[in-house]
Amino acid sequence: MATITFDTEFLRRLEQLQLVSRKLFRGAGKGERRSRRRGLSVEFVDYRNYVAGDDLRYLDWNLYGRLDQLFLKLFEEEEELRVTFLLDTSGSMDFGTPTKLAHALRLTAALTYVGLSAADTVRISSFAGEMRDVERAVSGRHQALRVFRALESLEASGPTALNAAVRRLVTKVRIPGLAIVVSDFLDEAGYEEGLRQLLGRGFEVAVVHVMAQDELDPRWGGDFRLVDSETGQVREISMGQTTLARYRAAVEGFCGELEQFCTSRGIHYLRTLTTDPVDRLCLDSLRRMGLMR
Amino acid sequence: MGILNLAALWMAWTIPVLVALYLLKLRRQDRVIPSILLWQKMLRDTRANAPFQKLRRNLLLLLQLLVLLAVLAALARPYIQWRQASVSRRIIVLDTSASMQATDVQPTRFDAARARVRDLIDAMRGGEELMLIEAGGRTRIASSFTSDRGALRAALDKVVVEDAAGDLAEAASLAISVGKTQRECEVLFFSDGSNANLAGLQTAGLQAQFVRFGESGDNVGITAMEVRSGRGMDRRPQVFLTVVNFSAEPKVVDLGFYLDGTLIETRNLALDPGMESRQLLQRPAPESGILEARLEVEDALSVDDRAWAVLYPGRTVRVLLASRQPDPFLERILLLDPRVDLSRVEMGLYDPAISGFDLHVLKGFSPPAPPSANTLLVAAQVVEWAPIQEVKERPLIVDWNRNHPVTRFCQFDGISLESAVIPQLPAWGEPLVESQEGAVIWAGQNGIQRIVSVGFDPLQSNWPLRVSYILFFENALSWMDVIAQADQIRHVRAGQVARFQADAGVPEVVVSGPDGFRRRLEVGLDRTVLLSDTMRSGVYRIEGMDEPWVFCINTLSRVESAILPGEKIDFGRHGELAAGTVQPAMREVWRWFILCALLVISFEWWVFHRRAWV
Repeated sequence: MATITFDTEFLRRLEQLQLVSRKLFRGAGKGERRSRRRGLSVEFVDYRNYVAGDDLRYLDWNLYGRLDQLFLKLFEEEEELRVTFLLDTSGSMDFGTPTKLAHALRLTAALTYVGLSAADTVRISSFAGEMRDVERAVSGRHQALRVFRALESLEASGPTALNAAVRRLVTKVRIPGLAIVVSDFLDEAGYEEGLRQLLGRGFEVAVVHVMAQDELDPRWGGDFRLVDSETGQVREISMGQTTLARYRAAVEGFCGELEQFCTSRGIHYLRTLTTDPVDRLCLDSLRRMGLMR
Repeated sequence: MGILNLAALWMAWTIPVLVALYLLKLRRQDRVIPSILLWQKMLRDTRANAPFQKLRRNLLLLLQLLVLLAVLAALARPYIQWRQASVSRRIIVLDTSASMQATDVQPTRFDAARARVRDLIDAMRGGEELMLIEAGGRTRIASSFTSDRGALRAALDKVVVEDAAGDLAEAASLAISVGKTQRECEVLFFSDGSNANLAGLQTAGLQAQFVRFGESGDNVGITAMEVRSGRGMDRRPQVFLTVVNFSAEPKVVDLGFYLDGTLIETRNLALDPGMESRQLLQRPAPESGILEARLEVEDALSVDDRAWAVLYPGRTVRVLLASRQPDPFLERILLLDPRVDLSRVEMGLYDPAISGFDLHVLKGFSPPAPPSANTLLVAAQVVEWAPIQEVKERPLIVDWNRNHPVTRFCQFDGISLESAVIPQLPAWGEPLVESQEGAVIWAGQNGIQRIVSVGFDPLQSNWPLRVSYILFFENALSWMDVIAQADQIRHVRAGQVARFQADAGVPEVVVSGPDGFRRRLEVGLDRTVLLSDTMRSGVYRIEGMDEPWVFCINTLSRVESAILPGEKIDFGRHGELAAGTVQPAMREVWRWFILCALLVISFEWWVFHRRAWV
């Protein structure tokens, strides 16, 4: 079980960031995010005709004086952003140095801290064979430590079932928000259906594709009997230069397809290796891709 | 394309063994990976891109099978009929001398050479012609230039190896002289090169190759055998024998003497390399029969391990002396030999056709007709039947033949002659003692008749005071001794013409010999019988005469017994021809298969380490 700790300086810098969504979502409560709802903030947005029963405090009396018609001033509503993390805890995540799961947990923890610091509501679900809620809609920075401990308790096992997890998620979530899927996407059933469902449900989706260096560029050669850590399937293979080159091409093709799938649908895509420092990812990569600012 | 070693194909059982071994697959190391999704994807891509993925999957097996097949093919010794030279005519000189019977090359050198010639014939291309010359005891053109393979094969089949000493020089001379008249002609010598000194022959401008057959010089042989039957007072036969070890190692051999097939004596000889052992066999009493000397030794050449001799009791030499005046010196000399039964006749009563005498000694006159027997002419006169002669006064002796049996050990310097008849020698005559004007003493053999002529009267010179006078007549009597002649007639070297005198009135005789040899021969006008087919050694019998005549043919050749193959054919100042291998007509290509196997196995090694397959 990996311990998730960040130094104070990093946390302080995270506190200055916030997760960004291109869409405007409705929130369940007050927050610091613009909402599609018209609310009571100080930011004027629009007018609409007065309807009986409207709060007279928001009538534009100056306009009434000029036009002799009643218009109601509409202000932005500032609500919370609902951030949902879908964290892959399948058996394939238990590879790499450090493991893909450890890297995903640290990254999720950092992003959670950003969300909690920005008064967003954070929900963390893990999926392997089945979906499991790690944290149900927490908000407030004081929840961070608890969330961290909850994350630390996660272990990698079982097969990947992203599509099934998303199906369950969309049925459970009433209000969509920002969905961040952290996974290696090594799912025999594919990832396309799940991501499409998230988009269809109205989520703004960000994909963090976690890969291990050894997975991207294996450094072992010889005659092997490859055993799938999730399914136990076996393939015999003789690793040589040509095979390695073909494998690298296959990996690049796989990653490229995923990235193409995401970018063509407005999904944020970030590929990260387990060796990438989380602070650099948060302070640099994620900001550049527009998921944080 | 053909296969020389069909039995190698039985090794094809290794192919299913290899496949079975491959099916047992190598033990692979288990490795747990996150997911085989990506590997499957790679496999899908590979299979989609390559239609022969199944083949590639088993590339190693295929390569190994290819190596195995190449090795099997090499073991089968495939050949192609191919030749490099582009000559249109070839002259093959095939050595058939006795040394080619050596078995250091299986089955024999000759058989190997003949097989190679047959290959060459089989590989003849259209328009190519071949001539076959047999180089044995006598040179013979087995086949003149022809492109008819059938005729060439038939001619080749008739060529047999002989027991005779070969004369490669004569055959080479013939081949070279023929070859120089042809365009694009090549002379091929198929020989062991053990007697390949062809100094004086010029091969310039002629392609020539020496294909050598033979590997070792391991041989012990009888190189000389001489018999003296019925000589001396007791008429005991004497057999002189020479045994030589030609091999590079010491040999211990048993020399057995068999009389009419019965072992009479055995001698154990220890011979160092190159050592020569001279043996003398003396029988205690006069006896007759066929004496065989047999070497019990394991060597490469067997033809020189046996030699035969005919023993027979001797008899008195009947000499007829006819002289113009009595010559006591001459009579004393003739009577020095106890075998001589001397009869005297006056010159006027002498009849050249008189029979019953082995030797006619004529002093101071020449008969009007040539004598019928061997003749010693002393102080010969000018006669019509003799060669053209003229009388020279005080001729000065300038030289004499030191090697002839008649003048051997004789010194003629300081002998003063009053006068001498100087003849113009017949073709069969040989000068023995020469003056400035010509031969004063000559000798020769005309048919079976031997004549020695002293052209001056010894009593008119200081010669009788010299030792050489006695030696000369002793030598002359020995040379013309009919018994000694009979010894020579009864013992013929293989390859030499055997010459006999048949009984009067016999029109033809039948000669039978070893290996079913049988020839019917006509008797010549001078009762001479000639047998030229003397290539096989052994005991021969002539039937059809009053008494059967037995003679022996022996190899007895130091040159043939020295079977160490030569490295080259020496043309003296015209260079030499190193032993090589003629581009075989059936060119074996197993080397290419081995090369292919090596290349494929290298590729297989590379593939194995590249692992360019899954």
